[in-house]
Amino acid sequence: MTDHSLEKCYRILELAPGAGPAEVKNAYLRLKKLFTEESPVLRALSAEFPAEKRSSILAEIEDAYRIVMASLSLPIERHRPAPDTAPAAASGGSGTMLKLRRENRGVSLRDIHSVTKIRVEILENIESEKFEALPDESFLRNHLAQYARLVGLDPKETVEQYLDRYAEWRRRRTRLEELDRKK
Amino acid sequence: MSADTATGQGEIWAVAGGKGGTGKTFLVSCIATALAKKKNQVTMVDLDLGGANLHSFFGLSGPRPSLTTFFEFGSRLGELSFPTSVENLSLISGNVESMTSSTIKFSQKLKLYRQMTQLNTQYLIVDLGAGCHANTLDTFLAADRMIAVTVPEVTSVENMYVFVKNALFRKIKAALKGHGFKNLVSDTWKNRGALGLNNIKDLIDHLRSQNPPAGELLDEALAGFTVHLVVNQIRDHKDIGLGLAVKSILLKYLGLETHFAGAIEYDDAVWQSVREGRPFLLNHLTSPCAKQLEDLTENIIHSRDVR
Repeated sequence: MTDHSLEKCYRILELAPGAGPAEVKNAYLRLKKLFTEESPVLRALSAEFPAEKRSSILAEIEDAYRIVMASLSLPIERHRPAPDTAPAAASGGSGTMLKLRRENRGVSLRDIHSVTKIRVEILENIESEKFEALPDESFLRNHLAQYARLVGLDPKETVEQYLDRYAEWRRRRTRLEELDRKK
Repeated sequence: MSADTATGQGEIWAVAGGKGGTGKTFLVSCIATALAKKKNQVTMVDLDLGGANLHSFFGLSGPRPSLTTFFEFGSRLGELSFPTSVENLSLISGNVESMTSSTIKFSQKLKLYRQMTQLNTQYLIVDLGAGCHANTLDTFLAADRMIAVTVPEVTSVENMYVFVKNALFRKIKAALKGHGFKNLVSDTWKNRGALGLNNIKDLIDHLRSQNPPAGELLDEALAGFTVHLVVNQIRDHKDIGLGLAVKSILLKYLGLETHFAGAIEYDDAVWQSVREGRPFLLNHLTSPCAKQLEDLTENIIHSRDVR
């Protein structure tokens, strides 16, 4: 997204420029929900607007939210105390990294669930890299992309990096299973 | 007493929405009553030709002057206005037996608009009825306040969206036609497949980029296009969200600023008052609708959103 003036960001969130953080967050969640879910209102218009349009609107809302919250220097940018898990373990695209990022942004798993409807249990499994419990890759891609957008990460990169780790885990497990069979 | 002078400066409010049964006539009767209660001179015009019902909301039946005499015999509009039981409130009835909206000639339409603006009244509240016919759209576009009504159902929202879109399309065609761009909109739209245009917003953006002078005219046309959205007959608190949803979607998808002017609860008292032939707003002051309708009227007066 190109340079957006703060005023334009407020307009995208359909707020007056003086709006406080609670209002901003509510506006963001409402709009996110509206353009993510299959509401009857959207269904009425789906013939006219292709899916890419909806994605670009969502991206615009996401960016506007981050910029406005940054300008208010409030929750989404404030550092919360990170858990004791060593940051060194948080390599690119890992579940730990996603979780740290999410917590730094002040976004709860409930928040992500309320916007995306992904079950909290699945989100926890993604963060803890409980690969054996994760859904099919096609669903997982979608979940990761939505998660990434909500914590301000590039969806494509996040999906690729996470799935690399998933693939690595699967390779290791296959090798272990082969070794077991040979015994 | 004739309500006809040459110097009327009344504000015209037009109520439409595309789908029948959404309560437009009820809203016209209540908005008009609310304005009349505030001591304004108000005239209602029933342009739902072939389906005129406004008189029933005031218990008026039997023969009375109507727009038939305007269209068929050329009477002056002001002579057709007659008082209702509500102080300061008059009605021009639309019971036009033999003519429908689609059979009215262009010249008659112009005459109607001219005389509407000349009526000696402070507010002219127009019931446009259902449908997207050109005459309905033109009357809607000519108003000072354009009010679009829906109920919380998919088909109704769909129709309201189509109505607003058609009105916008008609407006931009008219805006460009008058400046030597007569067929630009239609020709471009016909070519939309080749140009990759999916919808009106794409069309407007394309016209703007290809033809800056046309673009300026378009921006001017868009700036004056403000629709006031009303969600009627809500049964559930979360139906109010529908008004906000439609507003957001019109903004994000069409680039159109609208006002979500109000949401009105469903209330059995409404059809009861019609059956009794008594104006709802004066006879059901304890209904939650009454406050909602008065707030709605205030929001439209001030061109603002529901609070």
